[in-house]
Amino acid sequence: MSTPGPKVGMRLSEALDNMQLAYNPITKQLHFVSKKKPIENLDTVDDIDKLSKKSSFSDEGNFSISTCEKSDTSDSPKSTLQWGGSVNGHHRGKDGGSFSSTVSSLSECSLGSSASKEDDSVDVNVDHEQAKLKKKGLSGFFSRGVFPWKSNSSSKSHDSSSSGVSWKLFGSKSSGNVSSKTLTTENPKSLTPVSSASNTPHHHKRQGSSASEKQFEDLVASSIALIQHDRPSNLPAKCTEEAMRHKAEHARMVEAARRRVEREAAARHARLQESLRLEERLARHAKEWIQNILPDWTNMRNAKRTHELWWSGLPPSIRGKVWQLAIENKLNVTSETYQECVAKAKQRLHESQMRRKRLKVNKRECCCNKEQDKNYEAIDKMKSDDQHRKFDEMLSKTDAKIDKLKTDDEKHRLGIPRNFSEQNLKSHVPDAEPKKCCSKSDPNLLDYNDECSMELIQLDIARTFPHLCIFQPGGPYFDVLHELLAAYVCYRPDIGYVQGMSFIAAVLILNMEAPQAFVCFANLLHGGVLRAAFTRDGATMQRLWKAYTTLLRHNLPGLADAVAPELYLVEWLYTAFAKAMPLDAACRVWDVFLRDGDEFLFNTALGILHLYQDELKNMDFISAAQFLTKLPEDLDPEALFKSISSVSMTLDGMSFEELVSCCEVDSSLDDDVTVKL
Amino acid sequence: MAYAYLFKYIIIGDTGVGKSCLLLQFTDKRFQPVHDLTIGVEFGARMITIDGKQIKLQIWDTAGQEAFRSITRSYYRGAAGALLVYDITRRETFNHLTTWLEDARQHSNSNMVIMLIGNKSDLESRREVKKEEGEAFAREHGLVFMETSAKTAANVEEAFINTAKEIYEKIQEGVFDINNEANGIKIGPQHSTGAGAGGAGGAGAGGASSGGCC
Repeated sequence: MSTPGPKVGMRLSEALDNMQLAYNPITKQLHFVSKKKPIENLDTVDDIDKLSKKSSFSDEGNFSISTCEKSDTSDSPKSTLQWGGSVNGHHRGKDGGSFSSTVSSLSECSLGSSASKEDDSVDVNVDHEQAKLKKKGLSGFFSRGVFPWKSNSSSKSHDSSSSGVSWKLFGSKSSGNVSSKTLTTENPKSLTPVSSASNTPHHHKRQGSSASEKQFEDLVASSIALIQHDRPSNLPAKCTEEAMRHKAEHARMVEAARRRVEREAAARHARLQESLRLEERLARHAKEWIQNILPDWTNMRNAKRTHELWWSGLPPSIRGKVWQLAIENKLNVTSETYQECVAKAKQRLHESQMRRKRLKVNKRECCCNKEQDKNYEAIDKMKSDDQHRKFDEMLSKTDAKIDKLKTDDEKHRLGIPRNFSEQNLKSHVPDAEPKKCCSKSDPNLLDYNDECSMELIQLDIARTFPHLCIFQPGGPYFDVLHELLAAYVCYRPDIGYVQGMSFIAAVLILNMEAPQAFVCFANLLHGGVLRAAFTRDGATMQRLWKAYTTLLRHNLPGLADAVAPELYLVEWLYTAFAKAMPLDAACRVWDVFLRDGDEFLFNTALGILHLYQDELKNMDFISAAQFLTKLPEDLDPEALFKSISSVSMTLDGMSFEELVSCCEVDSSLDDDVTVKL
Repeated sequence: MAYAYLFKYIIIGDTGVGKSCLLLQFTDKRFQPVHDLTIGVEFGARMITIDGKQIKLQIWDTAGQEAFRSITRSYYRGAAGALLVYDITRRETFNHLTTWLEDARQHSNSNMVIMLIGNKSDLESRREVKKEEGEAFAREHGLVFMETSAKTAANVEEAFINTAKEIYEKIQEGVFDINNEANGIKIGPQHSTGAGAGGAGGAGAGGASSGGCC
């Protein structure tokens, strides 16, 4: 920014500091106030501006600044360019002129202008002949503080040289002619001609301008319209060529906006066409699935065409059905089993809540008022008895069934915070006596650990796909997911609830009804990598891990060391990619995972790394780990599947399964996933 | 970015105590009431300045559930600092501290600085663990203690930075062998080339920049 003038080399900040601004609450405008100086400058009493700078605040809080150069001969249409809805400065040419930054409409401008006419007596204008404007200078203008309005009408003596400094800030080439045009008037009213002179041409031209406005409105078929408005009447008019130039500029901008709108429309159209094509394809596929494959599932399951269709993604309408068929139901879990487990879970949850309440009451009344304690128990009993009776019948049936499932590994509790024993609890809350509460009800009921498990589920449901906003308390799927997971804890207390399960269950729930989802969930967790993960089968996990690492080194030697599998693979496997991937892509992966089994999960893992290998190579350790645990939202399933199929899952003629089985397990390790870091 | 040291941190504690929220507040200065469940481990990083030196904190945010304990154990390796977090509104998370501490002591290097954090201090009305209890536990086990709120950001900066200060002091005292990366400290690229240059900016508190390093 050039700051010409006597003080050569003056910095912008200094110049702005020297600039005196005052806000007039009546005109709602910003004005320049020249410093008062002794009588020596008496003859330069007041200045009429060749160049006037006004900033106006509207009632609505809109802020507009207009700086313009006024020429005596000007009768050009005054117009300010205005972006609807957004603040946008219109950049003018070297001659300077109107700079408008406004979100307001014309009415607001006229408000300011009419007010300023009345208050011209207190309008302090600074004059600087030939000074030209520079738009850049205005950027700093906004951050300036505004001096309190000085309504002292006697302050008519201004130091033109000091005001010259202020103005030079905005002058582009006026270093030589800093002479101020002085007007020897003591009456501030003499300023009024400035506004009144400009009024006539302004009003005169307004009609023409609004006509062209209409024309432009037709051109722009977007919510962002560029409308050429008349310049407010209090501002000086533009000269003809300037007006022409503005018109041309305006036309260009409108044209550019129109072209952009067209481009966007074309892109939208293309996207729409693409999604239509996809939908058509899916509809075609769905028809084929329903008519040809599903009725003859046993024969068609392994047909070439079926696998082709399967690989290309199951249509959402039949996805749930195909998943159920693919997962099968070797455990013979029925909807009734599910209902029974849900009932049991509800009862247990209810009891645990009661116990918790009592525990808190006990804690609060440390002196252990026995009478009260009994009262609470009595109340609890009364409350729960009704509900208990309903479940009692069901329970006896369920328990008998579940007892069959519970083998001798009953004591071998996995996945439930077993370290946090009751002993631990007792030592801290000696009065709690949780056992007492347990003992009076069904001895088969979950103990404190299971209770933790139950409460943990509640905590985790809201943290499952939070962005979907359907699993939060009060959301449509909160209860469904809660019931399913709680039912599973009752169904397999030996496994209990392990974090990650909520994602698996949620994906199933999103694709089928709750009872079917439970059947699939139970069967899915009964074998393979998910079972190993959730039961913390260290040996199996180690083998899978080792086989994966071997294949990783084989396929992507450059990445194997850069990004350790330990940083991402745990999450990927425990949620079967449901957490890291966008949901639609994850469902595509699940399609084939449920068809081909565990190997496909590892194949997908390699496929992801393969797809993003270039990005990953340039990332540091933290970025890479963050990237992999939250894959890009725009992950293209087609590209991913191409990448997946390009990865080799065999090594030296050995299949993945063979690799897994020949991996040695290091028993010295913590019987768990080996994580080398 | 250039840094003098890199410290590896690990955040541990029961599930739902707000570990991920603490990390998010520290790295992004924002609070997410419903945070994604952490499975395995998640990461964060931030640059801080101690004693005029740029220090990069590399933070490992672990899953809190017991089932992941064995996986978490392997993440201790090479950590210079640990934030052991409990929830002041859930007594059981406080009761489990001993188990966590045993784990941490057993699987980390002996010099690891452990900061005990009672989180959710904004939920005073639901408080189940008194501040004094936290202080007593910390005293008993030789930890630094602080109550924080990831929601209001109260003490969050302090928790991370004070831990770093302690690690830094240990480096100055020569307790940490910084050339052994198993200690969770890495010397930054700028530092190894000109150790003296780092001291130039050390107008800060300690000023003992010529200490244990190099």
